[in-house]
Amino acid sequence: MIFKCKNCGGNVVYDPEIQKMHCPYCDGVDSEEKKTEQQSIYNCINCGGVISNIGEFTSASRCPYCGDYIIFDERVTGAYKPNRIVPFVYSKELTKKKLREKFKSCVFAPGDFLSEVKLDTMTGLYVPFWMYDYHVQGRYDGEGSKIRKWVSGNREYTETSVYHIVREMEVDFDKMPVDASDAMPDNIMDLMEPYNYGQLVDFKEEYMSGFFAERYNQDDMAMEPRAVGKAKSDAELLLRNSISGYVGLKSSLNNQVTLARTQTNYALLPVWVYNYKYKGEDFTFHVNGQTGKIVGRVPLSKAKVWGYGATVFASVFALLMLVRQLLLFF
Amino acid sequence: MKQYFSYFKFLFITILVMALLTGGIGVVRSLTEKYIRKNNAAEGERVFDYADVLTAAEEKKLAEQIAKREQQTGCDIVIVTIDQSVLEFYGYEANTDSNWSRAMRDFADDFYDENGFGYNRVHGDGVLLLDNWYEGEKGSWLSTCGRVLERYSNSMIDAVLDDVYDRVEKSPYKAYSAYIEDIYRDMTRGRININPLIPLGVAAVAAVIFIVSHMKTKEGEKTTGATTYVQNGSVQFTVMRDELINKHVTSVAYNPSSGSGGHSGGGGRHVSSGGVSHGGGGRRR
Repeated sequence: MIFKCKNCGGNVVYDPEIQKMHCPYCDGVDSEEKKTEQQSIYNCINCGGVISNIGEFTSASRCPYCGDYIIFDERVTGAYKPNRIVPFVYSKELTKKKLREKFKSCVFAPGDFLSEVKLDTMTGLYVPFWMYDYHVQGRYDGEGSKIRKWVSGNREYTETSVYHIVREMEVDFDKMPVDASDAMPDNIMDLMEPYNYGQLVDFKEEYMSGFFAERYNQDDMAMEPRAVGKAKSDAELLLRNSISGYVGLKSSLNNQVTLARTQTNYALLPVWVYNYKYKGEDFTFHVNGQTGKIVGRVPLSKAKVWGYGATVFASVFALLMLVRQLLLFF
Repeated sequence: MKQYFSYFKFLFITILVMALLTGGIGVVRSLTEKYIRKNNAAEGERVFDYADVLTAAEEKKLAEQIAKREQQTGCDIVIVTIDQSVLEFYGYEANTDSNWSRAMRDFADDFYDENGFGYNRVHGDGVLLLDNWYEGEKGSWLSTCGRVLERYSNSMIDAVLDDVYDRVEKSPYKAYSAYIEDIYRDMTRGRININPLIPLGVAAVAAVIFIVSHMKTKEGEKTTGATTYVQNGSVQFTVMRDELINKHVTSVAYNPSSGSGGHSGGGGRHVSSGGVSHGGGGRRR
């Protein structure tokens, strides 16, 4: 499908800054009209050009010939229809600004790292996520000591009190997220969190126009172990945080956390992806399209760091020797 | 390059300012700091070569060197060489180290006192090197007085004697010249003398921290916690029990430790027969 402008026939996209559909050609707002008569996934619905580089899971892309944003119907409907989405809040311009702010002090980054030309290659991507609700029961059973010290006369006393500690807890986790895209590194997606669920809305195809997207690569059963792991470690931490003031905590073996899944959501979450190549190495930056949180390793010139390091050494030495000389005067 | 200078701008400017300040103070000091002699009783001779180990030309050169350094330090600098038994002179019978030290000390102090040395006043700021060439009693004694006494610790006196002994057998002139320079260096330099290895070490540590902190680039910080996905107010502790099982008390002897401070300068302080406070030290060679 494609969203066309009723007024001018241009490609209408979702504009995060005004949070409305916007035609960049005639500046029309909410002027979109959905067109769906696509002959095949490999033909652009707008120009008919053959798009050969569509990935197996791609659900929204951009035609390399006419530049229009197209959405693949069969990958956003039926079993692949997401029920929730967090629409982009950060536009491309805002994201550029955010990246520049964050890395402007990085003197070791190559010169064109934040250039307009390079930053313009950044793409907005809706990443598929499974979100699991859990009811969790946890139990902690263990021993810990409290130590009290005091001095009386010329002796120091140490009192050790040993306690038996028991905690039983119930907690509900709401939408524990796990990305369902093989292309997205799990650790990076974990660092993208948290998304603000206040803006998690019912899915509408319009939000996808103007961005790239994927459908889930694997179903909710296949992805669940990661969610269980996250929920368990959170629950264990909650239990542990309820125990304070003890030293030498020892837990006994009958501690356990049990989970029961209560609900599952399939949602799309917004991520800006900026790929930067430096000396044959890929540096990829992921920016949370809702909160603007940046995750990525800045490329740096090692020679530059060593050179600067040598300067620091020489300068500090010179400075301290001057201070030393000054002190000699007095 | 532009980026490099703008990055280190602050550091470079600081160094420049410090260098100008240090250089400026140094220049002003060397121009203005001439001590005015206030003791007119001991004008004239400073080199007393009774042992005749110096040529006339060497004596003259030493006297010139002393005249210059005295103005800069504000201290009388005296050299006395002898070739006689100080033990006999003071009536000691046994040639022991302690007798030798006492005799050398008294000879040096008395020579200083009797000639009325002292740059600021009679028996004021000054230093005297007594070098004995008499067979069996060879050695030097350094007698300090006034500001020199206050400044010189035992280890500093030892350092001067080391410089003298390193040269004296080969060239007495060079040895005495080194003594004058040592006094000049120590009396014009401040008390706060930091070992140059310390700036070197600090600079190395700073550079290593700088490099390491910039080599390791982080992907990003984790911004979720244990409660991020907890449904509001859903955490409920149905059991929260802390039962005391046992309690025991142990004790050890308690004695807080105390420290002590130090003081430098005033090495070998004593009062001479003439009632003047002297410091100093010496040893045989």
